[in-house]
Amino acid sequence: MSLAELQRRFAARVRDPSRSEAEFALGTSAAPAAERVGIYVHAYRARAVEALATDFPTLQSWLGGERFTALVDDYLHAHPSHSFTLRDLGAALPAFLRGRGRRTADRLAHELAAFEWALCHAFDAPDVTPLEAVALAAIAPEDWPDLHFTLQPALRRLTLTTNAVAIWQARASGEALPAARHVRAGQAWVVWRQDLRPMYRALDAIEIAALDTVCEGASFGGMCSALAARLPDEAVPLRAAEYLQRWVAGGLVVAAG
Amino acid sequence: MKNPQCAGFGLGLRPPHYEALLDGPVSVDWLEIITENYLVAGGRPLHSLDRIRERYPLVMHGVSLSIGGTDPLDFDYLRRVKALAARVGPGWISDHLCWTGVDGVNLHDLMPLPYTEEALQHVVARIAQVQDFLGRQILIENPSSYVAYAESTLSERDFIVAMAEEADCGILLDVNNVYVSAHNHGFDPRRYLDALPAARIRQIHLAGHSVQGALLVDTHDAPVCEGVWSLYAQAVARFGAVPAMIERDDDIPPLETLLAELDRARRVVADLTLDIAV
Repeated sequence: MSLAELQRRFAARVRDPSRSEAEFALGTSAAPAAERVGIYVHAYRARAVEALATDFPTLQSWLGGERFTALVDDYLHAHPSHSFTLRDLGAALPAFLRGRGRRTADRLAHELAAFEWALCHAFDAPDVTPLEAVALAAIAPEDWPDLHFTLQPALRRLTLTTNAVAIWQARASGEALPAARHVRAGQAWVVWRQDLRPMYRALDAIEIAALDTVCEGASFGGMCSALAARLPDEAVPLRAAEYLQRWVAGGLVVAAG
Repeated sequence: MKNPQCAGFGLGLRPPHYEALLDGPVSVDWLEIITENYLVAGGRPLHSLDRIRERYPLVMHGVSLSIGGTDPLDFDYLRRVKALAARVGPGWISDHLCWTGVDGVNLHDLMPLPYTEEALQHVVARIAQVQDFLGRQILIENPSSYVAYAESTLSERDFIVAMAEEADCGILLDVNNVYVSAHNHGFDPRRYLDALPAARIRQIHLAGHSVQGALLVDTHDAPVCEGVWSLYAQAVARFGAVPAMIERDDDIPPLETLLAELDRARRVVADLTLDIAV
Protein backbone atom coordinates (compact mmCIF):
# COMPACT_ATOMS: atom_id res chain seq x y z
CA MET A 1 0.00 0.00 0.00
CA SER A 2 1.38 3.45 -0.85
CA LEU A 3 1.93 6.01 1.88
CA ALA A 4 -0.95 8.13 0.58
CA GLU A 5 -3.34 5.20 0.39
CA LEU A 6 -2.49 4.13 3.93
CA GLN A 7 -3.11 7.66 5.19
CA ARG A 8 -6.45 7.81 3.34
CA ARG A 9 -7.63 4.57 4.89
CA PHE A 10 -6.53 5.56 8.37
CA ALA A 11 -8.09 9.04 8.08
CA ALA A 12 -11.39 7.58 6.79
CA ARG A 13 -11.48 5.24 9.77
CA VAL A 14 -10.73 8.06 12.23
CA ARG A 15 -13.42 10.29 10.75
CA ASP A 16 -16.12 7.61 10.73
CA PRO A 17 -16.34 5.81 14.09
CA SER A 18 -19.14 3.57 12.72
CA ARG A 19 -16.54 1.79 10.57
CA SER A 20 -14.75 -1.04 12.25
CA GLU A 21 -11.95 -1.98 9.85
CA ALA A 22 -8.37 -1.64 11.08
CA GLU A 23 -6.69 -3.99 8.62
CA PHE A 24 -4.02 -1.38 7.85
CA ALA A 25 -2.69 -1.67 11.44
CA LEU A 26 -0.92 -4.48 13.27
CA GLY A 27 -2.30 -5.70 16.58
CA THR A 28 -0.93 -7.82 19.38
CA SER A 29 -2.70 -10.28 21.64
CA ALA A 30 -2.56 -7.75 24.48
CA ALA A 31 -3.80 -4.87 22.32
CA PRO A 32 -5.63 -5.80 19.11
CA ALA A 33 -5.42 -3.47 16.09
CA ALA A 34 -8.96 -2.13 16.62
CA GLU A 35 -8.09 -1.01 20.16
CA ARG A 36 -4.91 0.71 18.93
CA VAL A 37 -6.71 2.49 16.08
CA GLY A 38 -9.48 3.34 18.56
CA ILE A 39 -7.10 5.64 20.45
CA TYR A 40 -6.82 7.86 17.37
CA VAL A 41 -10.58 7.66 16.71
CA HIS A 42 -11.31 8.77 20.25
CA ALA A 43 -8.65 11.50 20.23
CA TYR A 44 -10.03 13.04 17.02
CA ARG A 45 -13.47 13.50 18.50
CA ALA A 46 -12.27 14.45 22.01
CA ARG A 47 -9.95 17.12 20.64
CA ALA A 48 -12.74 18.68 18.55
CA VAL A 49 -15.16 18.64 21.49
CA GLU A 50 -12.54 20.30 23.70
CA ALA A 51 -11.66 22.96 21.12
CA LEU A 52 -15.30 23.82 20.42
CA ALA A 53 -16.23 23.77 24.12
CA THR A 54 -13.47 26.33 24.70
CA ASP A 55 -14.85 28.61 21.98
CA PHE A 56 -18.57 27.96 22.67
CA PRO A 57 -18.81 27.39 26.44
CA THR A 58 -22.34 28.76 26.77
CA LEU A 59 -23.63 26.72 23.86
CA GLN A 60 -22.19 23.64 25.58
CA SER A 61 -23.78 24.56 28.93
CA TRP A 62 -27.09 25.29 27.25
CA LEU A 63 -27.23 22.05 25.26
CA GLY A 64 -25.63 19.87 27.95
CA GLY A 65 -22.57 17.69 27.43
CA GLU A 66 -24.25 14.85 25.57
CA ARG A 67 -26.16 16.98 23.06
CA PHE A 68 -23.10 19.16 22.54
CA THR A 69 -20.95 16.12 21.75
CA ALA A 70 -23.61 14.83 19.34
CA LEU A 71 -23.66 18.27 17.70
CA VAL A 72 -19.86 18.22 17.35
CA ASP A 73 -20.07 14.79 15.67
CA ASP A 74 -22.63 16.04 13.14
CA TYR A 75 -20.69 19.25 12.59
CA LEU A 76 -17.33 17.51 12.08
CA HIS A 77 -18.94 15.20 9.56
CA ALA A 78 -20.32 18.16 7.60
CA HIS A 79 -17.36 20.53 8.19
CA PRO A 80 -14.09 18.65 8.77
CA SER A 81 -11.14 20.92 9.51
CA HIS A 82 -9.34 22.37 6.50
CA SER A 83 -7.17 24.70 8.58
CA PHE A 84 -3.77 24.15 10.16
CA THR A 85 -5.19 25.41 13.44
CA LEU A 86 -8.04 24.32 15.73
CA ARG A 87 -8.63 28.05 16.24
CA ASP A 88 -10.66 28.02 13.01
CA LEU A 89 -12.65 24.85 13.71
CA GLY A 90 -15.78 26.65 14.88
CA ALA A 91 -15.97 29.15 12.02
CA ALA A 92 -18.87 27.40 10.28
CA LEU A 93 -20.74 26.33 13.43
CA PRO A 94 -23.10 29.36 13.64
CA ALA A 95 -24.18 28.87 10.02
CA PHE A 96 -24.42 25.10 10.52
CA LEU A 97 -26.84 25.67 13.42
CA ARG A 98 -28.93 28.22 11.54
CA GLY A 99 -30.56 25.60 9.38
CA ARG A 100 -31.31 23.08 12.12
CA GLY A 101 -34.83 24.09 13.15
CA ARG A 102 -37.34 26.89 13.60
CA ARG A 103 -38.21 26.52 17.26
CA THR A 104 -37.06 29.21 19.72
CA ALA A 105 -34.57 26.72 21.23
CA ASP A 106 -33.07 26.07 17.76
CA ARG A 107 -32.74 29.78 17.07
CA LEU A 108 -31.21 30.27 20.49
CA ALA A 109 -28.51 27.65 19.80
CA HIS A 110 -27.67 29.38 16.51
CA GLU A 111 -27.57 32.84 18.14
CA LEU A 112 -25.47 31.68 21.10
CA ALA A 113 -22.98 30.23 18.63
CA ALA A 114 -22.98 33.43 16.57
CA PHE A 115 -22.43 35.60 19.66
CA GLU A 116 -19.66 33.39 21.09
CA TRP A 117 -17.93 33.20 17.71
CA ALA A 118 -18.02 37.01 17.44
CA LEU A 119 -16.30 37.16 20.86
CA CYS A 120 -13.66 34.65 19.67
CA HIS A 121 -13.07 36.76 16.58
CA ALA A 122 -12.70 39.90 18.71
CA PHE A 123 -10.22 38.15 21.01
CA ASP A 124 -7.44 37.74 18.42
CA ALA A 125 -8.44 39.97 15.50
CA PRO A 126 -5.65 42.20 14.09
CA ASP A 127 -4.22 44.89 16.37
CA VAL A 128 -5.06 48.49 15.49
CA THR A 129 -4.55 51.84 17.16
CA PRO A 130 -7.86 53.51 18.01
CA LEU A 131 -8.49 57.04 16.78
CA GLU A 132 -8.20 59.60 19.58
CA ALA A 133 -10.99 62.08 20.19
CA VAL A 134 -8.59 65.01 19.71
CA ALA A 135 -8.09 63.95 16.08
CA LEU A 136 -11.76 64.71 15.39
CA ALA A 137 -11.43 68.19 16.89
CA ALA A 138 -8.77 69.00 14.28
CA ILE A 139 -11.09 68.31 11.33
CA ALA A 140 -12.33 71.48 9.58
CA PRO A 141 -16.15 71.93 9.59
CA GLU A 142 -16.32 71.92 5.77
CA ASP A 143 -14.61 68.51 5.65
CA TRP A 144 -17.16 66.75 7.83
CA PRO A 145 -19.81 65.82 5.22
CA ASP A 146 -17.28 63.84 3.16
CA LEU A 147 -15.48 62.32 6.11
CA HIS A 148 -15.18 58.51 6.00
CA PHE A 149 -14.40 56.27 8.95
CA THR A 150 -12.44 53.04 9.26
CA LEU A 151 -13.72 50.82 12.03
CA GLN A 152 -11.66 48.22 13.90
CA PRO A 153 -11.43 44.77 12.25
CA ALA A 154 -12.68 43.01 15.40
CA LEU A 155 -16.08 44.69 15.10
CA ARG A 156 -19.10 42.48 14.40
CA ARG A 157 -22.79 43.43 14.27
CA LEU A 158 -25.45 40.90 15.26
CA THR A 159 -29.23 41.09 15.39
CA LEU A 160 -30.53 38.52 17.83
CA THR A 161 -34.14 37.39 18.14
CA THR A 162 -33.66 35.44 21.36
CA ASN A 163 -32.30 36.13 24.85
CA ALA A 164 -28.94 34.54 23.89
CA VAL A 165 -26.91 37.33 25.50
CA ALA A 166 -28.84 37.07 28.80
CA ILE A 167 -28.06 33.35 28.82
CA TRP A 168 -24.38 34.07 28.02
CA GLN A 169 -24.27 36.57 30.91
CA ALA A 170 -25.92 34.13 33.32
CA ARG A 171 -23.29 31.49 32.56
CA ALA A 172 -20.45 34.01 32.80
CA SER A 173 -21.59 35.02 36.30
CA GLY A 174 -22.26 31.46 37.42
CA GLU A 175 -26.04 31.82 37.63
CA ALA A 176 -28.72 29.35 36.53
CA LEU A 177 -29.44 29.72 32.81
CA PRO A 178 -32.81 31.34 32.06
CA ALA A 179 -35.27 29.68 29.69
CA ALA A 180 -35.02 30.43 25.96
CA ARG A 181 -37.15 33.39 25.01
CA HIS A 182 -38.09 35.04 21.75
CA VAL A 183 -37.34 38.77 21.43
CA ARG A 184 -40.04 40.16 19.20
CA ALA A 185 -38.35 42.89 17.18
CA GLY A 186 -34.79 41.59 17.21
CA GLN A 187 -32.10 43.30 19.26
CA ALA A 188 -28.95 44.71 17.65
CA TRP A 189 -25.60 44.04 19.32
CA VAL A 190 -22.11 45.13 18.52
CA VAL A 191 -19.04 43.09 19.53
CA TRP A 192 -15.53 44.58 19.42
CA ARG A 193 -12.24 44.67 21.33
CA GLN A 194 -11.00 47.35 23.70
CA ASP A 195 -7.73 47.19 25.67
CA LEU A 196 -7.30 43.51 24.69
CA ARG A 197 -10.77 42.59 26.01
CA PRO A 198 -13.70 41.46 23.87
CA MET A 199 -16.61 43.84 24.54
CA TYR A 200 -20.29 43.88 23.59
CA ARG A 201 -23.12 46.37 23.80
CA ALA A 202 -26.80 46.55 22.82
CA LEU A 203 -27.67 49.25 20.29
CA ASP A 204 -31.07 50.81 19.71
CA ALA A 205 -32.61 50.82 16.24
CA ILE A 206 -31.37 54.32 15.39
CA GLU A 207 -27.76 53.78 16.48
CA ILE A 208 -27.47 50.47 14.61
CA ALA A 209 -28.89 52.14 11.48
CA ALA A 210 -26.17 54.79 11.79
CA LEU A 211 -23.43 52.22 12.44
CA ASP A 212 -24.64 50.09 9.52
CA THR A 213 -24.26 53.00 7.11
CA VAL A 214 -20.71 53.68 8.33
CA CYS A 215 -19.79 49.98 8.11
CA GLU A 216 -21.10 49.97 4.57
CA GLY A 217 -18.77 52.82 3.66
CA ALA A 218 -21.02 55.88 3.93
CA SER A 219 -19.52 59.25 4.82
CA PHE A 220 -20.51 61.28 7.87
CA GLY A 221 -22.95 63.11 5.57
CA GLY A 222 -24.42 59.76 4.46
CA MET A 223 -24.83 58.72 8.07
CA CYS A 224 -26.66 62.00 8.79
CA SER A 225 -29.03 61.30 5.87
CA ALA A 226 -29.79 57.87 7.33
CA LEU A 227 -30.52 59.50 10.68
CA ALA A 228 -32.74 62.12 9.01
CA ALA A 229 -35.07 59.32 7.92
CA ARG A 230 -35.61 58.46 11.60
CA LEU A 231 -35.26 61.75 13.50
CA PRO A 232 -36.48 65.37 13.19
CA ASP A 233 -33.93 67.31 11.08
CA GLU A 234 -32.90 69.55 13.95
CA ALA A 235 -31.98 66.52 16.11
CA VAL A 236 -29.70 64.91 13.50
CA PRO A 237 -26.37 66.78 13.96
CA LEU A 238 -26.35 66.38 17.74
CA ARG A 239 -27.28 62.68 17.58
CA ALA A 240 -24.66 61.98 14.89
CA ALA A 241 -22.00 63.68 17.02
CA GLU A 242 -23.10 61.70 20.09
CA TYR A 243 -22.81 58.37 18.31
CA LEU A 244 -19.44 59.22 16.87
CA GLN A 245 -18.10 60.29 20.26
CA ARG A 246 -19.37 57.05 21.79
CA TRP A 247 -17.74 54.95 19.07
CA VAL A 248 -14.46 56.81 19.36
CA ALA A 249 -14.47 56.52 23.17
CA GLY A 250 -15.06 52.75 22.81
CA GLY A 251 -12.13 52.41 20.42
CA LEU A 252 -14.32 51.30 17.50
CA VAL A 253 -12.96 53.93 15.11
CA VAL A 254 -9.37 53.63 13.90
CA ALA A 255 -9.23 56.30 11.19
CA ALA A 256 -11.15 59.25 9.79
CA GLY A 257 -10.34 60.83 6.45
CA MET B 1 22.66 25.44 15.83
CA LYS B 2 23.68 25.34 19.49
CA ASN B 3 22.02 28.27 21.19
CA PRO B 4 23.61 29.41 24.44
CA GLN B 5 20.48 31.47 25.20
CA CYS B 6 18.37 28.33 25.54
CA ALA B 7 20.74 26.14 27.54
CA GLY B 8 19.57 24.58 30.78
CA PHE B 9 16.03 23.76 31.86
CA GLY B 10 12.75 24.97 30.39
CA LEU B 11 9.00 24.57 30.52
CA GLY B 12 6.21 24.55 27.99
CA LEU B 13 4.54 28.00 28.12
CA ARG B 14 0.84 27.63 29.00
CA PRO B 15 -1.64 30.52 29.50
CA PRO B 16 -2.47 29.64 33.18
CA HIS B 17 1.16 30.47 34.02
CA TYR B 18 1.47 33.80 32.16
CA GLU B 19 0.89 35.88 35.27
CA ALA B 20 3.30 33.97 37.53
CA LEU B 21 5.99 34.07 34.82
CA LEU B 22 5.58 37.82 34.36
CA ASP B 23 5.48 38.50 38.10
CA GLY B 24 8.73 36.50 38.43
CA PRO B 25 11.56 35.99 39.05
CA VAL B 26 11.00 32.37 38.08
CA SER B 27 13.72 29.74 38.04
CA VAL B 28 13.33 28.63 34.44
CA ASP B 29 15.99 29.18 31.77
CA TRP B 30 13.75 29.24 28.69
CA LEU B 31 10.21 28.52 27.55
CA GLU B 32 8.80 26.51 24.67
CA ILE B 33 5.71 27.89 22.92
CA ILE B 34 3.19 25.90 20.91
CA THR B 35 3.68 27.69 17.59
CA GLU B 36 0.06 27.45 16.43
CA ASN B 37 -1.26 29.21 19.57
CA TYR B 38 0.42 32.41 18.37
CA LEU B 39 -0.29 32.18 14.65
CA VAL B 40 -3.17 34.61 15.15
CA ALA B 41 -3.68 38.13 13.86
CA GLY B 42 -3.37 40.01 17.17
CA GLY B 43 -4.95 40.52 20.58
CA ARG B 44 -4.00 39.10 23.94
CA PRO B 45 -2.06 35.98 22.85
CA LEU B 46 0.57 37.98 20.95
CA HIS B 47 0.52 40.79 23.50
CA SER B 48 1.31 38.32 26.30
CA LEU B 49 3.93 36.58 24.17
CA ASP B 50 5.76 39.85 23.50
CA ARG B 51 5.92 40.57 27.24
CA ILE B 52 7.13 37.08 28.06
CA ARG B 53 9.71 37.32 25.28
CA GLU B 54 11.21 40.34 27.03
CA ARG B 55 12.02 38.17 30.06
CA TYR B 56 12.64 34.63 28.77
CA PRO B 57 14.35 33.08 25.75
CA LEU B 58 11.84 31.11 23.66
CA VAL B 59 11.85 28.09 21.38
CA MET B 60 9.01 27.23 18.97
CA HIS B 61 7.31 23.82 18.88
CA GLY B 62 4.73 23.16 16.16
CA VAL B 63 2.08 20.51 15.67
CA SER B 64 0.88 21.25 12.13
CA LEU B 65 3.89 20.78 9.84
CA SER B 66 2.73 17.26 8.82
CA ILE B 67 6.24 16.43 7.67
CA GLY B 68 5.12 12.89 6.79
CA GLY B 69 1.89 14.00 5.11
CA THR B 70 1.27 13.27 1.43
CA ASP B 71 -0.58 16.52 0.74
CA PRO B 72 1.78 19.28 -0.47
CA LEU B 73 3.58 21.21 2.29
CA ASP B 74 1.44 24.12 3.49
CA PHE B 75 3.53 27.15 2.58
CA ASP B 76 0.91 29.55 3.89
CA TYR B 77 1.41 27.92 7.29
CA LEU B 78 5.20 28.01 6.87
CA ARG B 79 5.10 31.71 5.97
CA ARG B 80 3.29 32.37 9.23
CA VAL B 81 5.77 30.25 11.17
CA LYS B 82 8.61 32.21 9.62
CA ALA B 83 6.95 35.53 10.49
CA LEU B 84 6.42 34.42 14.10
CA ALA B 85 10.06 33.33 14.28
CA ALA B 86 11.08 36.79 13.10
CA ARG B 87 8.97 38.27 15.91
CA VAL B 88 10.18 36.08 18.80
CA GLY B 89 13.69 35.05 17.69
CA PRO B 90 13.43 31.44 18.88
CA GLY B 91 16.48 29.39 19.85
CA TRP B 92 15.17 26.77 17.42
CA ILE B 93 12.00 25.50 15.74
CA SER B 94 10.68 21.95 16.08
CA ASP B 95 7.79 19.72 15.01
CA HIS B 96 6.95 16.00 15.05
CA LEU B 97 7.68 12.93 12.96
CA CYS B 98 4.09 12.28 11.89
CA TRP B 99 1.36 13.18 9.43
CA THR B 100 -1.64 15.25 10.53
CA GLY B 101 -4.14 14.87 7.71
CA VAL B 102 -4.75 13.90 4.10
CA ASP B 103 -6.74 15.20 1.11
CA GLY B 104 -7.02 18.62 2.70
CA VAL B 105 -8.65 17.41 5.93
CA ASN B 106 -6.70 18.05 9.13
CA LEU B 107 -7.15 15.44 11.88
CA HIS B 108 -5.25 17.67 14.34
CA ASP B 109 -3.39 14.65 15.70
CA LEU B 110 0.14 13.30 15.41
CA MET B 111 -0.59 10.28 13.20
CA PRO B 112 2.04 7.53 12.97
CA LEU B 113 4.05 6.87 9.82
CA PRO B 114 4.97 3.46 8.45
CA TYR B 115 8.75 3.13 8.69
CA THR B 116 9.47 2.34 5.04
CA GLU B 117 12.08 3.47 2.55
CA GLU B 118 9.31 5.36 0.70
CA ALA B 119 8.30 7.26 3.85
CA LEU B 120 11.94 7.96 4.72
CA GLN B 121 12.72 9.52 1.33
CA HIS B 122 9.45 11.46 1.46
CA VAL B 123 10.19 12.88 4.93
CA VAL B 124 13.84 13.64 4.13
CA ALA B 125 12.86 15.61 1.01
CA ARG B 126 10.22 17.58 2.89
CA ILE B 127 12.53 18.45 5.79
CA ALA B 128 14.99 19.80 3.23
CA GLN B 129 12.23 21.96 1.70
CA VAL B 130 11.19 23.28 5.11
CA GLN B 131 14.77 24.02 6.17
CA ASP B 132 15.39 25.83 2.87
CA PHE B 133 12.24 27.88 3.29
CA LEU B 134 12.84 28.79 6.93
CA GLY B 135 16.54 29.34 6.29
CA ARG B 136 17.48 27.28 9.34
CA GLN B 137 17.85 23.74 10.58
CA ILE B 138 14.77 22.34 12.34
CA LEU B 139 14.37 19.68 15.02
CA ILE B 140 12.09 16.68 14.53
CA GLU B 141 10.60 14.93 17.56
CA ASN B 142 10.23 11.16 17.92
CA PRO B 143 6.50 10.37 18.32
CA SER B 144 4.39 8.45 20.80
CA SER B 145 2.48 5.89 18.76
CA TYR B 146 -0.14 3.23 19.31
CA VAL B 147 -0.24 1.64 15.88
CA ALA B 148 2.40 -0.22 13.86
CA TYR B 149 2.11 -1.27 10.23
CA ALA B 150 2.85 -4.45 8.29
CA GLU B 151 4.47 -2.19 5.66
CA SER B 152 7.26 -1.08 8.01
CA THR B 153 10.68 -2.43 7.09
CA LEU B 154 12.70 -0.23 9.47
CA SER B 155 12.49 0.24 13.22
CA GLU B 156 11.46 3.69 14.42
CA ARG B 157 14.97 4.11 15.79
CA ASP B 158 16.67 3.31 12.48
CA PHE B 159 14.18 5.52 10.63
CA ILE B 160 14.96 8.51 12.85
CA VAL B 161 18.72 8.00 12.68
CA ALA B 162 18.60 7.82 8.87
CA MET B 163 16.19 10.76 8.65
CA ALA B 164 18.37 13.03 10.77
CA GLU B 165 21.54 12.15 8.88
CA GLU B 166 20.06 12.36 5.37
CA ALA B 167 17.97 15.49 5.99
CA ASP B 168 20.66 17.08 8.18
CA CYS B 169 18.16 18.07 10.85
CA GLY B 170 18.31 18.02 14.64
CA ILE B 171 16.39 15.65 16.91
CA LEU B 172 14.07 16.69 19.70
CA LEU B 173 14.26 13.60 21.91
CA ASP B 174 11.03 13.06 23.81
CA VAL B 175 12.03 10.59 26.51
CA ASN B 176 8.42 9.95 27.48
CA ASN B 177 7.58 9.15 23.86
CA VAL B 178 10.42 6.62 23.73
CA TYR B 179 9.07 5.07 26.93
CA VAL B 180 5.45 5.02 25.68
CA SER B 181 6.23 3.68 22.20
CA ALA B 182 8.66 1.08 23.60
CA HIS B 183 5.88 -0.21 25.83
CA ASN B 184 3.24 -0.13 23.09
CA HIS B 185 5.42 -1.82 20.45
CA GLY B 186 7.63 -3.99 22.61
CA PHE B 187 11.08 -2.55 21.88
CA ASP B 188 13.89 -1.82 24.33
CA PRO B 189 13.96 1.94 25.11
CA ARG B 190 17.62 1.79 26.26
CA ARG B 191 18.81 0.31 22.99
CA TYR B 192 16.75 2.98 21.21
CA LEU B 193 18.67 5.74 23.03
CA ASP B 194 22.00 3.99 22.41
CA ALA B 195 21.44 4.14 18.65
CA LEU B 196 20.74 7.87 18.40
CA PRO B 197 23.50 10.19 17.15
CA ALA B 198 24.50 12.33 20.17
CA ALA B 199 25.48 15.36 18.09
CA ARG B 200 21.95 15.70 16.69
CA ILE B 201 20.08 15.66 20.02
CA ARG B 202 19.36 19.37 20.60
CA GLN B 203 16.44 19.29 23.02
CA ILE B 204 14.78 16.85 25.40
CA HIS B 205 11.10 16.62 26.36
CA LEU B 206 9.91 15.06 29.61
CA ALA B 207 6.21 14.44 30.22
CA GLY B 208 3.64 12.24 31.88
CA HIS B 209 1.38 9.65 30.25
CA SER B 210 -1.64 7.55 31.17
CA VAL B 211 -2.42 3.85 31.10
CA GLN B 212 -5.32 2.74 28.88
CA GLY B 213 -5.74 -1.02 29.00
CA ALA B 214 -2.57 -2.65 27.72
CA LEU B 215 -1.37 0.60 26.12
CA LEU B 216 0.31 3.76 27.36
CA VAL B 217 -1.07 7.02 25.97
CA ASP B 218 0.90 10.27 25.74
CA THR B 219 -1.61 12.49 27.54
CA HIS B 220 0.70 15.10 29.17
CA ASP B 221 -1.69 15.18 32.12
CA ALA B 222 0.45 13.73 34.90
CA PRO B 223 3.88 14.07 36.51
CA VAL B 224 6.87 12.40 34.84
CA CYS B 225 6.96 8.74 35.98
CA GLU B 226 9.92 6.92 37.56
CA GLY B 227 10.60 4.87 34.43
CA VAL B 228 10.93 8.06 32.37
CA TRP B 229 13.24 9.67 34.96
CA SER B 230 15.45 6.60 34.81
CA LEU B 231 15.51 6.72 31.01
CA TYR B 232 16.28 10.46 31.20
CA ALA B 233 19.32 9.70 33.36
CA GLN B 234 20.52 7.33 30.67
CA ALA B 235 19.93 10.00 28.01
CA VAL B 236 21.93 12.57 30.02
CA ALA B 237 24.76 10.07 30.51
CA ARG B 238 24.88 9.52 26.77
CA PHE B 239 24.02 12.95 25.31
CA GLY B 240 25.14 15.30 28.08
CA ALA B 241 23.21 18.24 29.52
CA VAL B 242 21.02 18.84 26.47
CA PRO B 243 18.39 21.61 27.04
CA ALA B 244 15.52 19.76 28.70
CA MET B 245 11.96 20.70 29.64
CA ILE B 246 8.69 19.39 31.01
CA GLU B 247 5.55 19.40 28.89
CA ARG B 248 2.19 19.60 30.61
CA ASP B 249 -1.01 20.15 28.61
CA ASP B 250 -3.84 18.88 30.76
CA ASP B 251 -4.69 19.00 34.45
CA ILE B 252 -2.12 21.81 34.57
CA PRO B 253 -0.80 22.37 38.13
CA PRO B 254 0.46 25.67 39.58
CA LEU B 255 3.80 26.82 38.19
CA GLU B 256 5.64 25.97 41.46
CA THR B 257 4.68 22.31 41.07
CA LEU B 258 6.22 22.16 37.60
CA LEU B 259 9.29 24.08 38.78
CA ALA B 260 9.78 21.49 41.54
CA GLU B 261 9.53 18.75 38.91
CA LEU B 262 12.04 20.63 36.79
CA ASP B 263 14.41 20.72 39.77
CA ARG B 264 14.45 16.95 39.66
CA ALA B 265 15.73 17.14 36.06
CA ARG B 266 18.44 19.53 37.30
CA ARG B 267 19.40 17.02 40.01
CA VAL B 268 19.63 14.18 37.48
CA VAL B 269 22.15 16.23 35.50
CA ALA B 270 24.00 17.46 38.62
CA ASP B 271 24.30 13.93 40.04
CA LEU B 272 25.68 12.55 36.79
CA THR B 273 28.13 15.43 36.44
CA LEU B 274 29.26 14.77 40.01
CA ASP B 275 29.72 11.07 39.24
CA ILE B 276 31.91 11.91 36.29
CA ALA B 277 33.95 14.41 38.36
CA VAL B 278 34.51 11.82 41.10
